[in-house]
Amino acid sequence: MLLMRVCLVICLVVPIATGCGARDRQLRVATTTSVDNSGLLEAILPPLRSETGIDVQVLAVGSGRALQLLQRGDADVALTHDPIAETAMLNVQSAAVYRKIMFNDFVVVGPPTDDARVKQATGVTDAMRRIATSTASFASRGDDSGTSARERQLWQQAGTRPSADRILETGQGMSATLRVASERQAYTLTDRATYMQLAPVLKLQVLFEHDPNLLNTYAVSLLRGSRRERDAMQFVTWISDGNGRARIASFTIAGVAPFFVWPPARPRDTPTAFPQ
Amino acid sequence: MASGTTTRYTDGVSTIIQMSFLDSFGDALVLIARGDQEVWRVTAVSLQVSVLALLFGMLAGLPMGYAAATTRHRVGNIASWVFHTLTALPTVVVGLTLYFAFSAAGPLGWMDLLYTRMAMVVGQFILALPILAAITLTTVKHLPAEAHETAITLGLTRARRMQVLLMEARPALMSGTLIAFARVFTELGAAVILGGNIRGQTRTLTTVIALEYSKGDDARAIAMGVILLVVALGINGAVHGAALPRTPKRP
Repeated sequence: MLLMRVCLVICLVVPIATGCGARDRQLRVATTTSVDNSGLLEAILPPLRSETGIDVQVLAVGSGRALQLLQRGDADVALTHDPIAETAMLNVQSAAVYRKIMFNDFVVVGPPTDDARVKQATGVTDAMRRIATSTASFASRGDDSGTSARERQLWQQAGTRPSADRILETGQGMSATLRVASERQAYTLTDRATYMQLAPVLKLQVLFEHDPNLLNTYAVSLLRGSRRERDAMQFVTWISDGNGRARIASFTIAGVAPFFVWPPARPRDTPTAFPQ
Repeated sequence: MASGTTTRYTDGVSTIIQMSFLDSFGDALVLIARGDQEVWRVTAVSLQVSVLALLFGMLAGLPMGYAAATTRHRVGNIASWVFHTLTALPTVVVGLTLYFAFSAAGPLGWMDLLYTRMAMVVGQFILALPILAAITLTTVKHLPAEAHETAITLGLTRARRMQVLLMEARPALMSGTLIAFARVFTELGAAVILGGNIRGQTRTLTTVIALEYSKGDDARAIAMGVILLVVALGINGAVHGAALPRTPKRP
């Protein structure tokens, strides 16, 4: 009687449980929410799979967390855009392979009324200073992502920042932060790709752009000697030198390319490498 | 594509050019009606993980609760306090703790469970267990004294006695099971940390809603929300409804 019940439970559990822990030729790529939200990976992963047989699982986290997952061995590749955190990682991980693959830029967005008159700024430092000295709010990521790192750096360069009560720290991804900025009619710093993706639902405008300090570079890293090093290396080669380049170059959102592939002649093996 | 909506869907990636909730809601219904593959996939993953966690939770929780209810008074009281305290375990803390345990650098890293459905099952199992154990304990303990005495005088084996008494406690145990199911099926914290929201693998109804919201795809977020609501309410409503006639009327 009891045996029958045990058998019954087993018959129930086993089929439901199938595939729960399965993991064959799967590569885990930890990437920033901005890359994931843009839809780039959804566009380039199917061709990667058919060309190389590598099945990529995407973990969308901030740049800081992505690099940490890589170092803990929980991710096989990190795709990040935080040169400062990447430098820190390379300093302690001598086994790291590092390569810039693409770039775009950050933009300062804000309410169409532009009370801080950011549009008239002479440079991004001036733009940040105008926001700091106005009465407008600023939506801040505050989540250790590449964007939040850049924001901190820009405030530092500006030598000032909005008073604490005017900083709306979301602690969430770029899209959630843009939504908060839109609802509260606050300024924020965003990568262009995520802004473009979300622009139709936002009451925000690009108010300042095109400054060398707003350059946003994306790099892939892997650790030599990790468990899936071979597949990781193949992925990195595919995306930086292989057919992945053309896939990135041809990817568009509403007809506009949000990412530019790294120019072939430019150095790309250090976090401070510059595409122009 | 539904005409009259302003949303374009290409390969499951959508471009949003609409603003209002009503528009999004309409598109959400279209998505559901079209039987979008991704929608069913995440629903299946959600059900798989939660049902499995619940089954394991019952297999462990009912005997645990029963044992605590029929053991010495002092021990039972301590167990009751522990179970009831743990029913308030925050989902996100369970997720975080298991993340460190399952991480490749953690003590259980060799199991290679992190970012798999099994890791989510473990997390939800831990959330369901105290609820099931606590309700079993309280119910069995407060069964009429005759029930306990009859089971003993009949000279039944320990296992058989447990079976008889748990059957006596069935209505309350079913409530407990439904509450536990609701807790795990609708939780986000453990699922997103332990599963990683990997497309086609560990993406569940709750994690996909958080994702689509963050991407700004309101239609998909609402579609998933409607399904989560319907499935969660539907299962609990149907199970309880089916069991209602069996509940005896009070004399």
